[in-house]
Amino acid sequence: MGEYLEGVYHGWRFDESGKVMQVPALQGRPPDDISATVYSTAVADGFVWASEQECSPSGSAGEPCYPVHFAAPFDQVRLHVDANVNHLTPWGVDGTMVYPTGNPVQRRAELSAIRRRLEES
Amino acid sequence: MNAREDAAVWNRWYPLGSPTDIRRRKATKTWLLGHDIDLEIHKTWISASSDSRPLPVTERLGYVWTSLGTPDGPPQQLLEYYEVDRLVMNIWSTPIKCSGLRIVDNVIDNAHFPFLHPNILGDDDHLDLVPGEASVDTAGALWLKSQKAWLPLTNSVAEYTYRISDPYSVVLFIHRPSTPDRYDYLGIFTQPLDEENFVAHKLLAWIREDWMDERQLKADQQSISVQDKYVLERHVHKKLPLNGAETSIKVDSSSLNYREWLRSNHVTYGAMI
Ligand SMILES: [Fe+2]
Repeated sequence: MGEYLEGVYHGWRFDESGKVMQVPALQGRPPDDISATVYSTAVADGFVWASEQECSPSGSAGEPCYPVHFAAPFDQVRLHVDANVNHLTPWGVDGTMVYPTGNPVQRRAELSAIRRRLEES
Repeated sequence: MNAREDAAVWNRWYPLGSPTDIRRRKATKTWLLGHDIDLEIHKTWISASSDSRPLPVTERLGYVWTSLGTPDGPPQQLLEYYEVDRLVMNIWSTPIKCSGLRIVDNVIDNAHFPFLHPNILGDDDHLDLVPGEASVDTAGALWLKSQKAWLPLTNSVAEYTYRISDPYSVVLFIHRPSTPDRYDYLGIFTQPLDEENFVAHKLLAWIREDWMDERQLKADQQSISVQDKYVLERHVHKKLPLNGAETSIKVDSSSLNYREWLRSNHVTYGAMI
């Protein structure tokens, strides 16, 4: 989607390979290479899914690969954090935004239900 | 782990809340370090016990404090709190879902200001930070002195000093250019409920100025805290890593100093070791 991923806490920017491109407090790159683990992602059912296994997001409409480790409602993966907004999660409002999906089949049903509620609200 | 095995944490005083709040809520129960605490509200004092064992209780800095262990003195002091020209208040006592050590690590870290508190405590045009000096005083408290960061609210560079005398709390001294020998204070005293949950008791003690509106000050401080709550509850590790599970770089010197201080004090409760 974009060219980098930016952390909400300290604004570190990571490129596609997971390497840190920029640390704002340093006004540039860190002297040593720092890398984050990169996961495959897929967008389906209005969620961004991440997995340690290879996914093929394209054409997977509604069929993200499993096992899925994390999922976040697509519209909540955002550029700017609004801390005053409550997030709807399988465990109620204002839980964590990105959450482990556990048993994928069971969790998927929960997530779809949540998704529908999000769309209705 | 059982907190009893961590002497550095067990034998400390912790706040249970402001007496006003406890009375208003008619609270009879709270938690501390994984233990149930029973509260009893009397006419002029509040008592606490754990498994029918009476606990020491004292009021200080606007909070009721207790200890499950045997502390070697009274709770930490901030005499300036009692100066007559100060506005003092409890900003809030709010539950947060992670280790209480994490909020101390958050408070002393200026590098997150432009991102988490944009246009309030920092902004994109002023990303450079001046790290302070770290030292440990004779009482064993960690001091992080004179950290400087851009403060959009005042359109100038602000200077901060931090005192950490207990693993689970921090007092922020905000330097005042108009009165260099006096400070405005913010205290974050945590009540660890267990290793991954705490109540943040946030105190404000500022020298009163004409422009100050008590309700507005409270609301402003609360909205800053809400932004911090957001990231605190979203860390991958709920406990504070003292083992290198998180990447720190030289510019995070305050955090590195705090974590080093925790290690040298053998703090393990609420930490990843
Ligand atoms: Fe903050």
